[in-house]
Order: sequence, then structure tokens, then C-alpha cells
Amino acid sequence: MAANLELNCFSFSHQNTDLAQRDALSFTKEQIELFVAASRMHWALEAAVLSTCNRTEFYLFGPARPALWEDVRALIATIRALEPSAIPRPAARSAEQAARHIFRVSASLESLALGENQILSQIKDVHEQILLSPGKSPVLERLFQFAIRAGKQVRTQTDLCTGSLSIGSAAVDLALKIFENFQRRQVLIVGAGETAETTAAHFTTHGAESFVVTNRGQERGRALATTLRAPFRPLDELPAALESADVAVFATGSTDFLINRVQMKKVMKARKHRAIFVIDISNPRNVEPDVGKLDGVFLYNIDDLEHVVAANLASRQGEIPAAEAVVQHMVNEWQAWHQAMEITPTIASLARFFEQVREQELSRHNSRLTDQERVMLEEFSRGLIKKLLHNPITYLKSSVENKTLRKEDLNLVWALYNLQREEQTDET
Amino acid sequence: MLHVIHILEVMLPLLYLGVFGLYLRHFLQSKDHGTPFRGTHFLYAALVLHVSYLTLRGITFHHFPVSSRAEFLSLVALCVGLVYAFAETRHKESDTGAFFIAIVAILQVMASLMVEDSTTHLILHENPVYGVHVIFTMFGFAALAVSALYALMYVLLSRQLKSRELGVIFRRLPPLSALENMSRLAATSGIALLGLGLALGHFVGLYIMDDFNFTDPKILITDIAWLAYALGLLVVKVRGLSGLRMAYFSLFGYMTFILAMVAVNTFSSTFHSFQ
Repeated sequence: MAANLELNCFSFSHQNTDLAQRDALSFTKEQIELFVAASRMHWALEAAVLSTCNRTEFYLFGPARPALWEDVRALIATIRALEPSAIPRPAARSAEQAARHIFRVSASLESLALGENQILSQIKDVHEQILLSPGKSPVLERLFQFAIRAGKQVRTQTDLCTGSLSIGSAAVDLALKIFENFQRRQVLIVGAGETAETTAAHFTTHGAESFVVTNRGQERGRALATTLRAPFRPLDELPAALESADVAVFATGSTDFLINRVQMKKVMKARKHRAIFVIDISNPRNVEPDVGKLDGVFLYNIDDLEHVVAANLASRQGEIPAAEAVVQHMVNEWQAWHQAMEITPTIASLARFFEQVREQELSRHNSRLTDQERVMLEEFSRGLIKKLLHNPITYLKSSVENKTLRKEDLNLVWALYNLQREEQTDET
Repeated sequence: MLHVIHILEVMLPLLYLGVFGLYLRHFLQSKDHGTPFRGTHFLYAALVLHVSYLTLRGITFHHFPVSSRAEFLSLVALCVGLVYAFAETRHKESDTGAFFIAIVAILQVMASLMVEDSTTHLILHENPVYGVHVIFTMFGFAALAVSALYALMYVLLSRQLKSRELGVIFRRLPPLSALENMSRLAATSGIALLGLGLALGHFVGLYIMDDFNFTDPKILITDIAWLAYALGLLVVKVRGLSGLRMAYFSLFGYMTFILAMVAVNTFSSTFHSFQ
């Protein structure tokens, strides 16, 4: 009989566990290696583990086992030094549903922040780990390859991952739409509180190197300036600081406007109307709204940025059907590949069986044949077997192409000819 | 040779339409920075074929290929395509290509539809200096047109940013600074090429045409328009003006130039007219 091979996925994520449970279930690289090796040794299963801050998922492929979850739970408990009863019930998926799940994860359709990009690189890491681990995992290796393709296609063919979902990164995205990059661009930070520091960090992450800090309180201002390796200017030098800045972030607790239209007009004249992006994330506002009406001044306050974030989220949600279509396409491709893989051992065993019969019959008559007759019979028997195998092999292949392959068909072939599975040599 | 020319006359519009399709898809798609854009290679291939086509036409019909409206349109298409390809290569920015290649494709489709194998042309069109004058002038105009189109994109994107309407144009157009740089580059090279073209034109007029006169209003208008644009550009550069001011200068400068050209052609029925 054809062995019943199964793909299974056990998932713990933000959807079915709380943070403490996910912390307890998160795996280090070494623990993943242990899990993979143990799965192979005890159950002859290919295994892979995706462990991020929002999910820990176990992917297993191989001969079907009646109580797989119980075995996996015991192994997790051993590796993570937990009581098995402390491990919650996972979301369990198998076969097509398991494949669809990892493709959705890769597409970031399952992410807490819809459309985030980090998950794709985490899936690439798992794929790399599969390639580097001792022993072969051809099916899971291919599964994660498909997942990476799904993630990439969703990111190139849809807008699911475009637009920022936090105020700081939305501000950076807008600034990049004005300046392309932050090389030779100066970022003026007005304020020295937590918001100012967080926003400055967003700019640093995106390559900003040149900062100037200004603040009413000199001590805190100088401290932030030191952190950013930036010069400090007292608040009364704000107009002068604005003359050379490309981006100005206002994040102070001031209850008055720190800059008004008249002052900004002078600033713009001095800077020859070079574009400036003013981000006012203070509450109450620090920049007079009319400043935004001046040519070259792009003024965004906290409300504007929140609208941008909300619009980005809505836009991402609108892209879900397109992303799902990409996932579906990938699921179809996966199934076609997987079914093709399922018939390969059957075809190989069938061919091996016929070849053995041919060789046995030839050797039985070998002593009675002349050399010429032997050559003729060799050719004849090979041709005969090729013709006899043509129809069943064509049937199996076309049933994969037409997606009509049934497990029973494979089992019938194995039963009819009493085929034997070739012993696998495992490196582990 | 004629056979090859006929094949290219069919191939070129099809190729440009195909390239336009690639650029349009590139414009509408989300960008994955790891994926290289192949459309640029097809554009280069189309431009090489286009240069070959016009060269073959010139050799076959023994004149510089500006003797008919079809040849003129085809040359304009080639110049716009080459100037855009230069700007794209220089700034590594292919997101705006669809707008320019659309113009190139339309011009070449018109040219291929109108083209005839006529061998009648003015003797002047056989003169190589005249040919170089035409090339420089056309490139100059094409570059100013490209600059104006980039400036228009700058104004559109700037307005979207101001009004917080962050729609498709906002998402797909390159950043303001890139648009400004490309517009500035096209304007500077355009005015230089046009200046050379006009100078050569005067030379051709002076030494080859019998009835050439510097005080001719159409020549005066052209020269004044060029001088005004060049001076404007100099002022922009010296005063360090940027952003919207540079964009408006490029847009209105180009419009003024076009109006001047319309006026020139209205005044004259023979000068720069096509058979």
C-alpha cells in the first residue's frame, strides 16, 4: 500500500494564546534544532518550527500518526521544560489547510499588524534552517519555498504591505515622499520628551544622520542631542534652526504656537523656498496651522498623521481579497506539486517491479539462448514493458494535471502488483 | 533596404506600445525593491531600432529624415524617448516612464500611419549641417518638454501632499526631490541643446539660404524666447530657487516657447514647414 503521508501544522499565535503563553512556547534556534532532530529520529517526520514574537508554529510532514499532537506536545514540554498540561490546545491544520496557513502567514494576512514585512524574512530564516539542518526535508523545504514566493508576490502584486501603520513611521514615509532619502538632509527635533525621541529614532532607522535638537529645557535638550550626536540650539534660535532644516519635528508640551505664519514666511524667504516638512505631533499644536499654506511648507499635525495611518489601514484591508487570490494561486500550485510528488514513488516502484520480472524471466532462459537471441530478447522485453507501463503512468500523470488523482487509485496500483516501498536511507 | 524600413515601420509602434505596457504595469504595481525592472532594457532596444530606422531612411531616400510630417513626428518621438531614457538612467528612477513612453508611442503610431516612401525633398535637407541643426533643436525641445512634464508631476504631487489626498499619484510618483532634479537636468540640457541648434540654424541660414535675414520677426521671436528661458534658468540657479518656483518656471517657460513657435509658424508658410 502507498504510505499515507501527511502535512500537519500546530499553531500558537496571538489568535489563540495570550502573551505569557506565547513567551513560554517560544523556541530558540537550538531548541528548534532539537525538535527537528527528535521528530526525525522518533517519528521519521520532516519538521520545521516558525517562532516569532507573535507565533510559534510546528510544521511536520511524513507518515500519518494517530496521536500526533499528543506526541508533539510531549516533545515541546520536554524541550521547553513545561508541564504538558500547561500547553494550550493549538490551532491544528493538515494537508491543504496547513499549506494555505503558512502562505497566509507569509503574506502577513495572519499578522497582528496586517501587511507587516518582518514575517517574510522570518520565514526565509526557517527555510534556511531547513536547508542547513542534517537530513533531508524535501517537502517542507518546498513548502517554505512556496511560502516565500507567496509572500513576495503579495508584496509586489498588491498594496497589502504599503503605507505605515504608526504615527512615527507614517511621518518618515511622508518625509521620504518629499526628500527621497535622508542623506545630506537635516532633521530638526523641537522638544526632548519621549515622543520626540521615538520619532527621532524612526528617522535614524531610515538613514537620517544629521540632527539638530532645540528645547526649552536645556538639560533634557542637551541629553537628547548627545544621544543623537547632534548640536543643541536654545529654543529662541528656532527660526534660525528652521532655515537649514529639511524636516522639523515639533513634540513639546508648549501651550502656545512656537512658530507662526509671519515667522515662517521669513524663514522660507531665507531658505529660498526650499521644501520643508513640518511634523507637529504636539498636543496642543506648536505650529500655527496657516504655516501649512505657505509654498514649500508641508505641515502635518497629529490628526493628519492619524488620518494617514487610518487610510493606510483601510487601504491594506481593501487589498485582502487580492492577497487571498495570490495565496489561492499558490495553494493550487502547491497541490499540483504535492500530488506530482505523491505519484513519483508509485511510478518508481511500478517500474522497478516490471524490471525485476523482466530480469527474472530473462535469467531463467539465459542458458538456452545464443548471444544474438539474448540481445533480441533484451530489446523485445524492454520495449514490451515500456508499452505496458505507458498507459498506467500516463493515467497517473494526467490525473495529477487534471486534479482528479484519488488516493484509492494509488493504493490499488500498490495492491495489484504487491509493490514494496524502497527502504529510505536516512543520514540522521 | 526598403523591405527592412517597412518592417521597422510596423515594428516600432508595436514595440513602443509594448514598452508602454511594461512601464504602465510598473507604475501601477507595488514596488519590491529587490525586483529589477526589465522595461528599461526593452526601451533601450526600441530606441536603438528607432535610430537604425531613421538612419536607414536617410540613407535610402538621400536626405535627412525631416522632409515629411511622418519623419518629423518619428524624430520627435525618438528625441523624447532618448531624453527620457537619459533622465531615467541618470536618476535610476523608472516610475514616471509610462507618461513619457505614452507620448513616444502615440507619436510613432501616427508617424507609421502617415509615412510614405516619397523621395521628393528640399535640397536643404541633404545638407549635413542642417541635419545637425535639426537634431540639436529637436533634442532641445524634447528635453524642455520632458522638464515641463516632470514639473507638472511635481506640482501635482506637491498639491496632493498639501491637501493630504494621498491617492494613486502620491503612492506611485517618485519623491518631490527626484522630480525636481530630473526636471532641472532636462531643462538645463534642453536649453543648451536648443541654443546650439539655433546657432547652427543661423549658420545654415546665413551660408546656405539666399533669403535669410536676422531681423526676420520669426527668427527674432525664436531667439528672444530662447534667451528669455535661458536667462530665467540662470536667475533660478543664481538665486537658488527650488521646489514649486522651479516647477512653475519650467512649465510656463515651455508653454511660452511653444506659443512662440506657434507664432513663428503662423507668420511663415515656408520656414520650417513640412511637405
